[in-house]
Amino acid sequence: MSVPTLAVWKFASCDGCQLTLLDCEDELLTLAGRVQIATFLEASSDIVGGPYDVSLVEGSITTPADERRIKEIREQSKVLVTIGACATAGGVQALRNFADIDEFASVVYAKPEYLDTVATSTPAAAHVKVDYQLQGCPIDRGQLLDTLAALLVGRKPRLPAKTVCTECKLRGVTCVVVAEGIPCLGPVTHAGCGALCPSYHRGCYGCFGPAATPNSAALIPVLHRDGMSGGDVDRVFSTFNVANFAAERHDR
Amino acid sequence: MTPEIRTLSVGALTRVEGEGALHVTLTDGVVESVELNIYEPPRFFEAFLRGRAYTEPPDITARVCGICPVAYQISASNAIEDACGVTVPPELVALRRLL
Repeated sequence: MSVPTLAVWKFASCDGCQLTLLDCEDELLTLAGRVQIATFLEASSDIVGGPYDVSLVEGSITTPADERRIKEIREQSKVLVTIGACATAGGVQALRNFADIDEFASVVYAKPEYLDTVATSTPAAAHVKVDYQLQGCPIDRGQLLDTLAALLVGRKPRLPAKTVCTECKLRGVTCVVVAEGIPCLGPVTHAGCGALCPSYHRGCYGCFGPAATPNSAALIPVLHRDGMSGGDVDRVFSTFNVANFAAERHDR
Repeated sequence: MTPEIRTLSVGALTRVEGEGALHVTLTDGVVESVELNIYEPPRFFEAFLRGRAYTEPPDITARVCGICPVAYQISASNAIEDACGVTVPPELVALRRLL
């Protein structure tokens, strides 16, 4: 059997999610022995042409050229996995979707006419069929490795649709809301981080995006009780997964 | 004598706050033109940071770059402290240098 090929692609993003692959220091050599890393610009300037068995796609679609490129990558890929909040939800740059793009460009750039960008930041799934998605800003290393291992042996990746709350309980972390009155988005946020922030006495701020059926209408009064203003609540839902949280806010 | 014209083209430079390309033209060994094209699309951090709470920029700017997030977290913290006239204790300064 020939060695499966893996390609890693970047759109509008920070590189953090694809670097999670390079952060797999203990497992990287094993992985490199099982797959041919055909295209991965952040790791090597050697580029092997498609088709590819698995493509990991990081970043959101924000330019006309990228709208075309994601379709080309889809055609070249047997399995396409989006990685991170940008690729799965449009990322923090999707805050432009709720603002005036020309005003944004004018306050940041001296010569906005040099820019080539569209008014919205959209996930890959808005343009092509996506087979699996890894949420998170950034993604979790364990979920990435499990997904690649699953695809190698032909099973389904384990991407449980639980909440951060569930992971917190499984880990035995004392609830920061109940015990310390710290506002926390754990009840509405997708699992995957292993309850990282609550384990350090910090409330979850939703970087994995909304869980499957988030009951934000029930959570928001609790956030207010624990000291968040209406503006604080709007802002905490308006970060890396702003587009997906906005679609799931049913309290307004 | 015909001048010797050489062009150097690097299609993809990584770690330039995104990705970019570099094209250099040399005539008889003298650099004639240099063209740097950062094709990384704009993400407008400076625009959407307006109106955020003072506690948010370290988390938000960390997402400018996944290679050097700490540089952004610390710059954002320093900027907010500077704006608010806050002096942090020396232990915290030392800890940040360590990071």
